[in-house]
Amino acid sequence: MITIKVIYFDYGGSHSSVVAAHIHAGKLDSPATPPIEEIINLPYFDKTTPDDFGKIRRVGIDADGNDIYVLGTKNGNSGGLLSGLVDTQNLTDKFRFVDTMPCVNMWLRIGGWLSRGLSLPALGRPFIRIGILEAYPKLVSLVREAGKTRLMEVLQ
Amino acid sequence: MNLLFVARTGVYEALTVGLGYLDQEEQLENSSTFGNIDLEKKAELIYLGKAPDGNEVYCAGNKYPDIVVRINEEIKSLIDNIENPLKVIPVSVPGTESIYTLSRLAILPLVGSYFARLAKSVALQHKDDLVSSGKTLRDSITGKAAAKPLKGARHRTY
Repeated sequence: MITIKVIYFDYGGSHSSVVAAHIHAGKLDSPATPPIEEIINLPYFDKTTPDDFGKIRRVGIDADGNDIYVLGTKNGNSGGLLSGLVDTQNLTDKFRFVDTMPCVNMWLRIGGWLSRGLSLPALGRPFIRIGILEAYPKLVSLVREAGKTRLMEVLQ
Repeated sequence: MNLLFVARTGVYEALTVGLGYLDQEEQLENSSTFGNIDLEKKAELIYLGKAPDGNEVYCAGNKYPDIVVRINEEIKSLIDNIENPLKVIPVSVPGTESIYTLSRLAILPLVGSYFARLAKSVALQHKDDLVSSGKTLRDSITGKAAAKPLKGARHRTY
């Protein structure tokens, strides 16, 4: 069976990309928005440090055996760069990069900046809670579009 | 092997270094890529050509070139036996820091074109340094050593 590596990426690799990757990996298995505590307790969620930028971290595996990862690029516009890196190495058919930045709303931006950027999680998390709950349906749609796997068909 | 030069700006610094690597620096001023803000905004890899040593050369702009290096290494670590690996080379030439700021201001509506011209001008002021950086990198990559005095030779004084 041919499998690929699906990498969800955003600016920080802390919030939207982590949630999308966990949805894809079947670790948030309900299409309905889960309780916020379940999201907050996900590995990597709102826990990244500056050293994690550029690090591709594995989240799990989907129903088709594809490996699922998250990545923070410290850039809001990295899709072209990432595609270029794999295209020039003839790895296009082995990777799929999914940009979760379109799902990032104002609450997540403010919360992420406070929590990760300024290291003030106590201030940032209330915003992140609001933002991630608002973004969750969009992330599910994004994963459905990006996934095209058996798990995704089940979710649909 | 493919080479990707990454600087804080792609269409100014990384492009000039890449053309220096290719010995095509005379094409800089006439290149449609040089100072092309639309290309800069796309933040994609820009193909520059094939070097005599067989390396395919690309350039790109990114505010954090070291992170691009890291991402590429991470991608490579996930795949065994890459036939045609890409080497990402971060480029930073002292004195060119203002080009990035000017390139960001060049995105502004109305006044952007003024800053784009200014960024081009600053890049041209530092062209020799950037080109020289590309040639030095080429020599180090291809293993071509700079000429050294013969062992035992002494400088003549007149």
